[in-house]
Amino acid sequence: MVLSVTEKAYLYESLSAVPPLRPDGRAAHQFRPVELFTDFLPTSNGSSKIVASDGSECIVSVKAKVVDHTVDNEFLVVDVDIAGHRDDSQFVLSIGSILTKVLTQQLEQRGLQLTRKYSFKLFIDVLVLSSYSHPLSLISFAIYAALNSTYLPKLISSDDDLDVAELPLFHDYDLEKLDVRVPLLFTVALVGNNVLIDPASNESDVANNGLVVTWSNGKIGTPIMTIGLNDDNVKGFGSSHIRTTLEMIEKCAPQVVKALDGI
Amino acid sequence: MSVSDRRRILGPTNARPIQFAPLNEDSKKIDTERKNLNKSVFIENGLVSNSNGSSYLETRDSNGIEYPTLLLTSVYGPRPTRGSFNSKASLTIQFKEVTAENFPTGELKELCNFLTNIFNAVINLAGYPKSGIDIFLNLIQHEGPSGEYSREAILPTCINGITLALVDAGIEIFDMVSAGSYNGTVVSFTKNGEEIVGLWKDTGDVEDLVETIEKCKEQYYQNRSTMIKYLMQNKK
Amino acid sequence: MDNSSKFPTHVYPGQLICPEFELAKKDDQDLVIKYESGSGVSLLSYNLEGTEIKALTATLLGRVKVQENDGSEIPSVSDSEESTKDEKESKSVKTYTVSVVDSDSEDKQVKDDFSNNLPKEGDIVLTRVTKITSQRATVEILAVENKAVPVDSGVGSNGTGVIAPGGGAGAATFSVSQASSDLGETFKGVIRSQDVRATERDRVKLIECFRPGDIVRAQVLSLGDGSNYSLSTARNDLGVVFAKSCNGAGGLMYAIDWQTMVAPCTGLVEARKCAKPF
Repeated sequence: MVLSVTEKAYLYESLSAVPPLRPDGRAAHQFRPVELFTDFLPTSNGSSKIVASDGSECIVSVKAKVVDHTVDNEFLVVDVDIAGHRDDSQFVLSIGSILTKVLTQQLEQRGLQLTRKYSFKLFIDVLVLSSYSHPLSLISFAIYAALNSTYLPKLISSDDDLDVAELPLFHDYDLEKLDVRVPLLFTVALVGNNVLIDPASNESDVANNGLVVTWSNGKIGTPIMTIGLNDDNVKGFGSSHIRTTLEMIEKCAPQVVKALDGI
Repeated sequence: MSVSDRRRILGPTNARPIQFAPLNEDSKKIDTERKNLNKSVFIENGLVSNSNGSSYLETRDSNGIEYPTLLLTSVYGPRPTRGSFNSKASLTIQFKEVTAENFPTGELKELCNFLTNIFNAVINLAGYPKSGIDIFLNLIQHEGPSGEYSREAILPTCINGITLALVDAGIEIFDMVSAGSYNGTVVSFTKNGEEIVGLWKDTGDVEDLVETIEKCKEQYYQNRSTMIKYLMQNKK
Repeated sequence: MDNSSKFPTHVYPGQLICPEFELAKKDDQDLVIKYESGSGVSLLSYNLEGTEIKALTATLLGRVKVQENDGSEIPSVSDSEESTKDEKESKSVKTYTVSVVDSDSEDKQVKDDFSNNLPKEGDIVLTRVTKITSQRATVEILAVENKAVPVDSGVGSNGTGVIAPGGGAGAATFSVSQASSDLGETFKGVIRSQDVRATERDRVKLIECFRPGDIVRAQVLSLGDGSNYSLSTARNDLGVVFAKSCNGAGGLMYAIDWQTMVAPCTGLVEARKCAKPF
């Protein structure tokens, strides 16, 4: 939805009030409700679908392949597709790049290793069916749910193939749950002196700036970076904003993790 | 799943993969120290004659010529855009490696996205309705310390380069935006360090973020004053 | 009286020039001096120890120019009210426009704006006619009067010279058929038949006013829509300044009155809406 100059000014004033007045009545640290389904794609090793209250929808599929990691040391491929954006657009490619970066950094490759030579390589395909606000946080929740519901074939051959060259052999039907700690990405909008978590599209339109914060292993991790939520209201912010953001994420993230783990 | 190579001689069964001894702590320390050292910069504006404004930057360590970063930035526009009416200019930033391609495309697009966000905040976009401003970054040479290619190492140079090119083009900017980097964190400031317009932290610890920002600010002051000195000496 | 002498002479973008208001004394009277931002200057707010302070800030590299605004010494509060009060309380406001100009603009014979070359509302522009219909003439804007043409003059990544690999802002929708007769791209404008002249507006026949290829001096009415500026020639000094006879095949013509042009060597007479030369 395109907002007029007056609407934007009104929204900006109410969002920068103390406490912020968000159009949907949320508190600054409150998320929009999401619906999350997992394990619905029969051909994937793990899958999830997330639907946000504004109608944004995202599907994530995780597939695995056995590779020789001494040859191919890339253990993760993230592919992002966003409806309404070209695949080679800056927006889609940079979201893909952020996700690849954060997952490669934070996921433990050891969890995917089968033998000394072979390991699983994960292909994470992200399809955003519709998005109204910045989809990064939504995608990250979906990836979290998908990876945590991923089951991989159970290895029955020996895990030491250094002495004897051997192909890994799997059990016919027994699966093993993938045990990885998946990082989460949070987006916050900075409006005036306020920090708003999970900005809706109209809030993003008037935001002065945005921040992406990573949460992994029960604490704030990297990358942390500024992200443009719109093109024409971008402004600088003080270092106090960063402090507030980090405090807010530290408070909210454990609850989000708890909620996502409850599925 | 491919079949394993049975024609290959696998070697003796008790063979172990080759391993190198870890670097000793002292040499590592010097390396990080050198990373955070003051850099010497060479600036030349207006080299690209058919662009509206351009800048050429050479950043190298003050103690030698080991790791120079050469960056050429050119600014085109404001020029008309087609399509719907825009009361503000739209900004495009493109990054290209001229000599060798060391970065994957996605990473470069992310870098451009980040830079666009910074400069959306400082260019007086409202002064250029119905237009587009195009910025092209050409990385001629870059080699990080110990030969690795990191975006953090070139980011401050990119930001300084764009600022200088915009000034050269005479496009209105609210401040001389610049950046400093410390241990892989890049922070870009305006308004004499009061405001942050860009924060890029890919690795490292978050605990000392505030301290890191302060360190970056020191470098920002240096970079900014160097640029201003260059511009003012040429104008008077 | 004013403190403009204390302002920095040469400035860089982001340098503070002066506050928005200043108090001064003149003939024992309090005088409020207001500085307005001209070209190359923006009024920005700064946070100083918790309070927001507004200051005029340079956005360009160049020299500071302070100009007094005409008829600016206007009493601020209504006089009748103040006359009853103490003399000292009456304040008058003086406004100055602060702008930043290119240091060597004098040599270039170019007036103030050197950066912002975009046509604004009210600007006089020189255009070339590209297309005529019975309702409107489509033109391309070549230059804004009294302003420098930027170095690339629209010749950017889409023209010759440096080839932009991914194309620039205009590349996505750029097509050769839209390219102007010069290299690169230009801003487009339309002159509607109603805006050609000030009198008998509804009887204008555009073909008797402009021909493709004519150089027309016009004024910008508004920024128009996404692709075209709205232009007008409804003034004596606006209209065709250069035209060639026989749709450009003949020689240069001269205006003999406001609606006729003649080619001196052939004697051919053609109808145009001419601009008053001087």
